[in-house]
Formats: sequence, structure tokens, C-alpha cells
Amino acid sequence: MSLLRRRYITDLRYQLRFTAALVRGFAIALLVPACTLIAVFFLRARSAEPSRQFALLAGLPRVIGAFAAVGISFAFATVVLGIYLSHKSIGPLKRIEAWAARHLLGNPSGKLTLRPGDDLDGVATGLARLAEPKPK
Amino acid sequence: MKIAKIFFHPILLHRRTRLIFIWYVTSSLVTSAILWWGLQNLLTDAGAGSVLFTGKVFSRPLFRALVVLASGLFATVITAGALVGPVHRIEEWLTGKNRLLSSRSLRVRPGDPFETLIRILNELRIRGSAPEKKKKPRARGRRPKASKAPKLRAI
Repeated sequence: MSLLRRRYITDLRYQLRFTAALVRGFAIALLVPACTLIAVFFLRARSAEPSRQFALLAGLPRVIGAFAAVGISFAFATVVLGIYLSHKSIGPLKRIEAWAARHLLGNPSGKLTLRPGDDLDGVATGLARLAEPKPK
Repeated sequence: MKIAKIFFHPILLHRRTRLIFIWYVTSSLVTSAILWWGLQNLLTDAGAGSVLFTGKVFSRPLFRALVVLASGLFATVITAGALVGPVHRIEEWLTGKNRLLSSRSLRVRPGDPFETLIRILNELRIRGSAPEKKKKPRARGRRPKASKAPKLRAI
């Protein structure tokens, strides 16, 4: 567990915010179609005969329970995805920040390198170009 | 034109945004399919018809797919604006910097998480920017006269 934490938790505050935003979007994507379906179901139940309405409404919690179980498992996967994606994003940014700070303090320490698979190559290239000695 | 700008916004075409969109739509499709199947079964068991959606528009599968896609897209736009936007802005600023020498300093939106990084980048830009050209001293003597405005003629 501590190995996972050390490996995938770079900046807890940022990663929590990232994951929360991802889960919020996930909730929107999940709940809008679900609410539409349930609303349509209620409309159908209202127009049904009174004797059938009870059976329709009694079975609803079971269906919603199944939906919630699948939804929660997807939400858990979203949290994992959020932690992984935020780790992939904040790691290079922290590295770039440290490199730029060192450069600013007049202590440039070689070329800026990112981990394989990091998707901030554009930033690293642009930063390396920015830090090039200016032409005289 | 404005609508095209929204749909082809660079943030929406970002690799990470695409991943988020695919994830949202997939999970939304699976959960809605489970819910739809359960509700349909309830209707059949209660003998209140076998189809949940009735009517010309609502009964089409395209409508259900449209609801899922629209909600997935909406959620992606909201999420990408918060998650992909700041990193993308830094990337754009850095890569386009050398072409636009007169580019302004990178600014932070309230709540952006990379304040320190952006401050450092701005400082680095100020230090690394090309030296300003020295102004030529004015030639002594008479100043050239300003050209007179042409007189207006009454027609």
C-alpha cells in the first residue's frame, strides 16, 4: 500500500481535486440518462392501471439498486483513473517546476527529461527552447 | 462559426479529453443499458406493455444513444475545462512563445493549481526574452514637417 502511495501519489491536494472533478463529470454522465429513463418509467407507470401501478413501483428499488451497484463500481474505477491520470500530469509538472526554478536561480542542471509515457513533451521542448541562452 | 469553434476547441481535441469522453460514454452506456433492461423487465412482469419508450421520437434507439452521448459530451466539456485546460494553456504558451515575441505573460485563472510554476515561467520568460533594440538618437536639426491634411472641397 505504501509502495503504491509512494509511486502514484505525487501531490495529494492536486490529485484529490483532479479526481473530484473527474468523479463530478462521471456523475453527470451517469445521472442524466438514468434520470431520463426513470422519468419515462414514471410516466408509463402513471398511465398504467391502478392495480399494476403498485407492482411497477414496488419493483423499482431493486432495479435502482442494481444500477447503483454497477455505478459505484464504475465510480471506483473512475477514482483509480483519476489518481493515475493526475499522477501522469502532476509528476512532469513538478519536475518542470523544479528544473525551471533551478534554472532561474542560475544553477542549470542539464537537459530536462521526462518519464517515458508522460504527455507533456510539448511543455518540455518549449521550456528547453525558452531557457536557451539568448543570442547576442 | 461560433459553434464550430466550440466543437473544434483545442481542449476538446486533446488526447486526455478524448480518453475522458470515451470513459464517460462507456460507463454511461453500460449503466443505462442495465437500468433500461431492468425497467423494461418490470413493465413486462407487471403486464403494462413491453416497451419502455413509446412514440415516434422516443421509441427510436437513436434517441437513447443521443441522450447518452449528449450527457457524456456535456460532462467531458465541464471536466476538460477544469483538468486539461490549465496544462494545455501552459503547453500552448510555451510552444508558441518563440514565434510570438510580443506575447504577453502567462496568466492564471482563479483556482488554477499551477501558480508557482506559472510565476517561475513568467520570470524565466522575462530573463530569456530577446534584448530590446536600442533606440536610435534623434537626428539634430529641423524636424520634418508633418504632412498637412488635404483640404476638403465642397461639392
